[in-house]
Amino acid sequence: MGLTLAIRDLRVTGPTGRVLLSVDALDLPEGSLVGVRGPSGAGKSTLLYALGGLLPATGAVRWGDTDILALGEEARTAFRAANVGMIFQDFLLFEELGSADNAALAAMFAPRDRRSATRDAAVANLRHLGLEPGKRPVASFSGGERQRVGVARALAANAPVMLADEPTASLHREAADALINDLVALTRDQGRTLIAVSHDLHLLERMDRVLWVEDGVLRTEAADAA
Amino acid sequence: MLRDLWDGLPVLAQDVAILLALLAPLLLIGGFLLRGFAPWPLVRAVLWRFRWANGMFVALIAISVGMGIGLIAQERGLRQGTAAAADKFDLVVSAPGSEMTMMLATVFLQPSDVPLLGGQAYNTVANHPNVDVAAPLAFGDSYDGAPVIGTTADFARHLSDDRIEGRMWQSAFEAIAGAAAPVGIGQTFTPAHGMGDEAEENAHELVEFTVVATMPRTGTPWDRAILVPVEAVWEVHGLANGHAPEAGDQLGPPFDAAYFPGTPSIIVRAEALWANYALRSEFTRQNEMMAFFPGTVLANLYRVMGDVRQVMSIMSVVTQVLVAASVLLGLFILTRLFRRQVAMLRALGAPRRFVLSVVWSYAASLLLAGTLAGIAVGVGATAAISTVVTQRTDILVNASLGWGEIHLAAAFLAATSLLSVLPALATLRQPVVEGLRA
Amino acid sequence: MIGKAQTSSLLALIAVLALTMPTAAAEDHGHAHGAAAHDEDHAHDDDHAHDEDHAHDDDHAHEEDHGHEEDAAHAFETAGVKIVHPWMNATSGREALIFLELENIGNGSVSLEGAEVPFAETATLVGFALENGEGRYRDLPFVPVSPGRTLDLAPEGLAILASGLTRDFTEGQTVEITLQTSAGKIPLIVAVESETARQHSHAGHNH
Repeated sequence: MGLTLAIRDLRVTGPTGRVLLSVDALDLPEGSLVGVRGPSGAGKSTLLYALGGLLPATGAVRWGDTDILALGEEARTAFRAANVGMIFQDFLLFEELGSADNAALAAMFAPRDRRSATRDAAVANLRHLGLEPGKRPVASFSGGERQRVGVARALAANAPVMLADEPTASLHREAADALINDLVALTRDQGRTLIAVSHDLHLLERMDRVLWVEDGVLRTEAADAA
Repeated sequence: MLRDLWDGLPVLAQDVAILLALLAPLLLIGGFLLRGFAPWPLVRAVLWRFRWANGMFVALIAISVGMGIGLIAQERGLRQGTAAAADKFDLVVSAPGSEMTMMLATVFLQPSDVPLLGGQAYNTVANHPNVDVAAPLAFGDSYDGAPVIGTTADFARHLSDDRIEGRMWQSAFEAIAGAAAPVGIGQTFTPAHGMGDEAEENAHELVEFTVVATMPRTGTPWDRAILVPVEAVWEVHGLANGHAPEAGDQLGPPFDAAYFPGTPSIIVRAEALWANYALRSEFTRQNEMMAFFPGTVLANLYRVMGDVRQVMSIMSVVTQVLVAASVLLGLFILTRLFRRQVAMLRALGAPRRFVLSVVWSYAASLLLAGTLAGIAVGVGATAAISTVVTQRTDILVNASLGWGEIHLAAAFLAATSLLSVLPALATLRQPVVEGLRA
Repeated sequence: MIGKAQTSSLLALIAVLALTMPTAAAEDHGHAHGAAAHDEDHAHDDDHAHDEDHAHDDDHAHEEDHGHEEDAAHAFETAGVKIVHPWMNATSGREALIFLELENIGNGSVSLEGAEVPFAETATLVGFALENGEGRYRDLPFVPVSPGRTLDLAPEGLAILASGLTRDFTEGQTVEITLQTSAGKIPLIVAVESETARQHSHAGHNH
């Protein structure tokens, strides 16, 4: 169910005109699990945001048949809603809501006929991740529990692509390892494409391939240097 | 023509139509923003997260809306209360002077030093074929703060709608007490000369009145009054009692002009409405007497009161605008506090309209809660003030919620909800990635 | 001006408002006690003197006061009835009230019955009344005026209510109506005053 990724001549420039990221060419088959590593501030997150169509950029970022950079802003948003699940370093949950509402966030703006499917998927994912879906505010959850809610949220829309930004950086080792297992299992089971920016070697070693970003340049050849 | 159609509508339909027209933009915006979305859990989350600030906003809105509503409701309450107090006084005839002074003296029992009408004038009025009741009044005495007023039996019946409990007085020193007077049936009292602080307690030492009846509550200053035969008041003050000596103990009309000491005003009652106008022209005689409608004097007063209210209403609208502006500013600031969540929503694929619907619903919830609370505050404040006014003046002032207040509240709600789209739009202006990195 | 006893916030308010109103008032005196029959306080004894014996002798004086016949635009006279200062407010609404002063200068009673108003669907004689604090104008069949008396048609009093106006009226215009009285029809020219006028712009002049 995953999507292929094809990048050509991607350039992201900052407000001052400086090139923040440049990728000449990158092709990933569907269902790939890809890690992205590199020094802080090198442009890893910029790459991730550009892949999600969250940044203005030139070139082409093709997910399957869709060049996300050719779309307008609302069309990109709709594309993300249908195809991309995102996981954040510090979870970005609504602290006042329970695990079920957080995981089913997409149901609030999904077309009416897909709402219950999204909610059901959220509940199933939470259970699969060992969480009881409920109303208790996630503010009282541990870091590991919260990130699992974040993962359930990313999976709820049944998106073929997962983009994860340092998903384990806020977790202690044990929780991080548990999350890595879950994340890898859930993406592989469904054949999703996962791109994860991370410093976590435990995570990176579970990926099919690891990309290196330094000074805003993607180096595909450094793939297996770990 | 549209205007004909509009004028042809019943008043209630017009009021409802205005209300709907005022709320229409609100419903349109809400409908447009919320169509197909279910943002309520997020709205509730935001309401809860900023509950203290939100409570403050709602309180501010409630107070400012309540002030505006209270002002209108209070003015109407005073208007209705004072108008009801004047209901029994269709036409008043008095010596030429200030209609306002005479109205305060007769309708509101706030007598001042006014010239008197003589027996000739009284008989001219009393004997006119269109006059049903012509009651002289004699003010000036009091008992325990309650005015003791000399008049006729006909007027006592008129004032109480013929619902006197007890019996009509049969001798000069019997009295009928108003519902709020400090004496009841069977009690006796000795009136003091004058009113309040200046009352001379011992002026009428040898006189004693017995209360033989009470009147039902009317919601007017006359509730505190004690009515006695006008003959008694005159006699107590050492004057002729309105009748020739050979008339004996006669009470009430006809009065003999030669023995009539004078009355500050005559309350005139005519069966037909048209007759009141005829009588007014009849009894308007230069340098001799004047006739006026307390209702007309009050209507003129209401015009001034209305002008004052309008000035105050402008101030209250300014207050509302300031409150609305500060609430909107507060919302601008608060929305910056959840810009990360907004960015996250956009990253997860939430359309702009969904983000707008969350922020707008949040703002509109505050405004709606504040406006509804404001209506309660306005009615509550009016009820409290009205109770005090009623206690102090015996004028029954009711607090009620009228269409004017509802329209004001709806207009405030509609205008501010329209404006609250602005902070919602502002949250969308921030780039998503900056929001995520914030 | 109000008695100290039982002075209340409400009446204080009314009093303050009253002071802001133009009243044709005689002086009020600042004492709290009432006026009835105070031997020691007879500043107004003169008023009683009137009562003696002077039936209708004042009545002629009125006519002499009002002798400006040349000012034809403001005074209209027929068969013992004199109409002074007919006026209305400028309006673009559906209703207008027409005001005037009617003097009975003849020897018999005259009734004002209504008017024919060519620019309105209906015209009725109405009288003001307060109903629940709101002013209303109610229909009246007629109002009789005795010889020598004046009937005042004024705001918050008597008026001719013209309903279903067929046109707008602006200040400075004049319009023609016909008054119906028991003494016959009286054609009038009505002056249109400003939207907020409370009286004819020549009121106070004698005619």
